[in-house]
Amino acid sequence: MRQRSFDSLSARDWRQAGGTLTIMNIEFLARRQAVTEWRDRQLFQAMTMLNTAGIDARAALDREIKNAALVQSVWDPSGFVNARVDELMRAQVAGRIEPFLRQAAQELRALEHRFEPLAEALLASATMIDMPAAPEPEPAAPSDSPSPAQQSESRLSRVGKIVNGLAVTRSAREWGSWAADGVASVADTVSRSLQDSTGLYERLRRVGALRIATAWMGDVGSPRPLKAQLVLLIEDVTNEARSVNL
Amino acid sequence: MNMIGLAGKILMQVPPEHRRSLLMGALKLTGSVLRDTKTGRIVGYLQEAAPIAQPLAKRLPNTFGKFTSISLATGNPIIGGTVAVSDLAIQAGQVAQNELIRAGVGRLEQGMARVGDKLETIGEQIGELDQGMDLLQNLGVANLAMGAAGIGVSMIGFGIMSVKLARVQASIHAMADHLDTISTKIDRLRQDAVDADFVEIHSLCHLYEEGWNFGDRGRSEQQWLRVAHEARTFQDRFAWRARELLTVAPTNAVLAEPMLDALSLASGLRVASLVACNEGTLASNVSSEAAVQLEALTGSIGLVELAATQIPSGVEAGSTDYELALVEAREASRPLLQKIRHREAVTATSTAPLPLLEKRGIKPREWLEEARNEKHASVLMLPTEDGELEHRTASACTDNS
Repeated sequence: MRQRSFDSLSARDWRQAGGTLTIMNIEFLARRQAVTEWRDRQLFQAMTMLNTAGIDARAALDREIKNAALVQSVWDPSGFVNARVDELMRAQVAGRIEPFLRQAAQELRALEHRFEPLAEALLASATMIDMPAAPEPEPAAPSDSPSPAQQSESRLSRVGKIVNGLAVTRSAREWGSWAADGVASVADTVSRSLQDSTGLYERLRRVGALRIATAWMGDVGSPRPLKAQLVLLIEDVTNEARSVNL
Repeated sequence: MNMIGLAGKILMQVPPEHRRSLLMGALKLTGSVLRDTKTGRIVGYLQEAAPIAQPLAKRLPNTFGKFTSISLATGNPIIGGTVAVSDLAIQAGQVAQNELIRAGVGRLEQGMARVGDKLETIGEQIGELDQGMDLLQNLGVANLAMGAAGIGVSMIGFGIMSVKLARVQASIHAMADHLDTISTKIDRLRQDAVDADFVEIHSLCHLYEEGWNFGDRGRSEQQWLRVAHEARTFQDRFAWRARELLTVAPTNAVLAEPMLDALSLASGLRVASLVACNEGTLASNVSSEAAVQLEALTGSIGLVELAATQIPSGVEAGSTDYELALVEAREASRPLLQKIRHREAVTATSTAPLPLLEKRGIKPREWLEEARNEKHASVLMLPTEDGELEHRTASACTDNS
């Protein structure tokens, strides 16, 4: 929350009241309280909207990380996750920002006809909201990592050793067929099991949760999280509305 | 006019029909002003009376124990502080809010149905001569009455002010650890300085009461003017303390609560002193200034600030736990927010009846004396012409039936 300046507000009250002590009008008090209530409603609505989007995004991410290659999840979890989370969150949130601000503007107008310019400004601010967009991770350089074929072969050799160690005898043709059809999927299963059992999936989930908590629902940061942008917008309008009410 | 309507010649007991209307929502209370919900027309002005001392002394629990147990249970002294401060003023009248909190997040609809049932039961019981806490609860003003701001002009004597001051001071003690952390940098927040101020305000309250015992009203007025003058320092000092706490962090709203209550008590003492002196205009000005001062401090505090202190740390964003924590924090903060809003409204309306009294040729001191001399009802009403007409019409219908 931003720091509040009491002195300027009370001085402004004083000037507006003509520098004399006049009885505070009940309606005046009620209007100022109504503005604060409006602000509360909008901020809770924004937090709920973002949280709901976060819940859905995390569920979708959970499905996606099972397709994560082992290399990416170990060496570049943030790169793998952040871009995906941002894409999922944008898909959830992008279509909700404008309706949210439109509703907020409508409720503001209903409080007081003098708030019309503020309501218009609030609605116009929808285009100025920036959504987080982490860059896609750069693809790994060819010389630094094995090709998919090489990865399969290396998996094959590892699996082959395991199989040989189990003293399972197979004909060369069966072995080859197995390699073509089943080993790759076995290797993927091994990869997923390995990631899961070593907590790598959990690590990716945590990275995803952190991304949502910071870039989307954080209170501070640079670039400014989406929640912080919405809070700032609503607070600015609230302060202006309270000033209009003097 | 029937017996229920009579209290004195200026003030009357709140008529049953108004009590029913208030509970059912046809009338609403803004501070101490009773208004028609649809038209906004003022029906009457409520004023606390001497018998309010009895429910005030009996009703409220020891805030120390509750604060400590809540803090230990949650590991969060801010939450404990919130509960303690909330208890100070609002426990007695919290039918709706307590039902909502107890019902839990997923059972709000069931809770609201129970609230509706309770209100209907209370409505059916109205018609008897209610006294003490029953009257306050039936009016839905128990939380107002138990609070530092009270209803109308403060009844300083009869132990009323002493009880309120003691409870506010206890709240400050309960938060001593947090205040001391801040006060290492800000001297005036130190506990000893705060306690010294409370001793002086207590003394001023005693001086105010002594003023009523002088045989010579001229000397009484000198005493009351002195009290009004000296209480100003404490009003401003507690306003300063509250401002410092809120400037450090808006989430210090809970810590600032007792300072705001103390501000309200000090300004209430000044207003009562000036009303006793028949200085109606000056009393109104002091009341207005205090209202502006208070609203500048708390007017922008909302559920968002209060709920922020209630959300447990470690709750992950983007989860159902977060959603639940947000709803629970919001609902748990409503009682404190209501208290803050009531205090603003009561401070702004405490001297609202004075122009009507002047129009009727009634001195402010007469009005205050009648409330002080009341033996039965905790809260009385000064009806407007419309309010009196409605009551007479309702009484005539009752008599004829």
